Amino acid sequence: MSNTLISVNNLSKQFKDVHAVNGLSFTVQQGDIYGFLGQNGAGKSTSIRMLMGLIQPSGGEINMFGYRMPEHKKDVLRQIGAIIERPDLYKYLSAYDNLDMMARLSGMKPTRQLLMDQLDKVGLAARAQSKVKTFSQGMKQRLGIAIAMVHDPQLIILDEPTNGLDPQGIAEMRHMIINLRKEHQKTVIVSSHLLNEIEQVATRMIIIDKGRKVIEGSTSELFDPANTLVELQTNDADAAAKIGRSTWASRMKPEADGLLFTLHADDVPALAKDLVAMDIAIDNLSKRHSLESLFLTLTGK
Amino acid sequence: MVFTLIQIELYKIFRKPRTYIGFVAIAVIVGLIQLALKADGQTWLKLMFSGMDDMFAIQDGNVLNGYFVCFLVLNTLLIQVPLLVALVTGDMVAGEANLGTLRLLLTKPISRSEVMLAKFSAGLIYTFVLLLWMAILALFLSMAMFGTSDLLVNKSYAIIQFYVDAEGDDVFWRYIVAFGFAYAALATVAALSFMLSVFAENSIGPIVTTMSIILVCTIISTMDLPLFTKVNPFLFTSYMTSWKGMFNMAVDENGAAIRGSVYSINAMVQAMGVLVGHIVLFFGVALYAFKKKDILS
Repeated sequence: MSNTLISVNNLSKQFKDVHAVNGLSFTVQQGDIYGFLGQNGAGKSTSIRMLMGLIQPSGGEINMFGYRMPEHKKDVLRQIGAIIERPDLYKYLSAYDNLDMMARLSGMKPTRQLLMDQLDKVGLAARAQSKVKTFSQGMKQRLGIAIAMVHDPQLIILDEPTNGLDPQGIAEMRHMIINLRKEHQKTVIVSSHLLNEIEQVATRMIIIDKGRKVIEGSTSELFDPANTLVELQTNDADAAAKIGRSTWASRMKPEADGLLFTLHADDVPALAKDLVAMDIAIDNLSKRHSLESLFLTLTGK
Repeated sequence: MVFTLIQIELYKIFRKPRTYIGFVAIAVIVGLIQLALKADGQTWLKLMFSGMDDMFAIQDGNVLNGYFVCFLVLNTLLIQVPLLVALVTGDMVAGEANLGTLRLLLTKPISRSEVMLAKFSAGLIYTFVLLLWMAILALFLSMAMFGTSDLLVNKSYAIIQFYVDAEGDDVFWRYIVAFGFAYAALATVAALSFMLSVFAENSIGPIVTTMSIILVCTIISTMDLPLFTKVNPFLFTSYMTSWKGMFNMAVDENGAAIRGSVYSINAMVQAMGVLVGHIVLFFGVALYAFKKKDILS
């Protein structure tokens, strides 16, 4: 059993009449890539900001690294590197200056070599003296990662890290998150509204909706292969009628742009075979992201 | 950590182009005044004192000297300099909130009190450097350009005011203390805009609000209406030009200026007390509000 790094109990935040976070409880274990999943406005960023001491909770308890927040904020933040929402940096300063300042604020006395090595790790050594205002979103994101990592923290918090990135940047970010755990033994909290992003990297996750926890658990626990969603797209007007007369009828549901089956993952090849046997022209037959099906089921969307 | 933070805050201030607006503006204005006085200052002086010949006689000597030019410059500039101070100090928290870097800063293991102390200290240092720049240009450069001699200063007592000469060697120290009072006034403006900066998410609001408050309070301070006279002693704007008190000399029974004297020490002490009180109050409110603030930007 791994160590508990974060324990959150009954956390709440109210902005006037709005309950942004409502009775949220979860734990993060050392070595997790912990996915924080929810739609925009679900309360992910508010929760993460409360973890970082940026927002004062209206109620509840946060314990991190054995310290209570926000009373021991300095002791806690010393062990965290974070990018909250966007990697907003001092645009009028160079990448090197930004990194140097943030390293010193993290309590380090960084050498030039150390800072250049850190920039090299994120592929920015050649642009060390360039002002951040000349950087692309992806470069800013990488500099943000360098800043989050420079003081070698135990925990990395990445709030919506793929926002504004192109597909290549998203793939690089995914690779980097997995590497942080695998090669650097870091614990990572990553939040996103993109289901497939979380699905591909997280070892454990929480789904929140309207400020409340919907479900929390390990990826393997949450994805039930018995409830795999499979989409069929066809231009065969009689497809629904043909399937309605088959053994798949009870597991089929018409949707606006096709037919949706709920079945065990192992049954997908058999379904494909039967559709061909029923002479249904298949334009597309694909599994829906398993997390998406779980999310839609749980949130009733 | 606070020392490191102050260094970082100063580095940020002096790497921003807007910081130099104040320095350039002061250099241009002071330079223009000095050039104009160098070119045609004597004629202007004669015109200025033409109706006062019966009140005093301008003795032989250089009336248009460095001290006099400095007095003119300060009298003109210290009204506008608050804007140049607010341009930077009003941006210190709100500007970072707007950029999103406040969020970045507060994810580091530093307390909010340390952040505020460092930012305010850096703001005060900037204000000092700006005033020092003004002193170098207005006093030392004027002394180099126009030389030094006696300064015409206010001779004050209860009923009338007119000009007497303060001997040259009785002037320089007055300027040093006067700059100290000017600094207290500007630091009050810095504290006000800094406080407003905590409540805003962009720097335009605090800068405009600071100037509006100064404008309104200055109008109240200068109007002798009974209602206003009751609040005037408590308004910091009533003491913005208290530095001039250093050039009000006491006089003896023969009407001669008393060397080394200041007409009303008590008024000067009160002025300094009110200004420092406002600085403490503004910073206290800023600190309290910032510690309670949710960082949503």
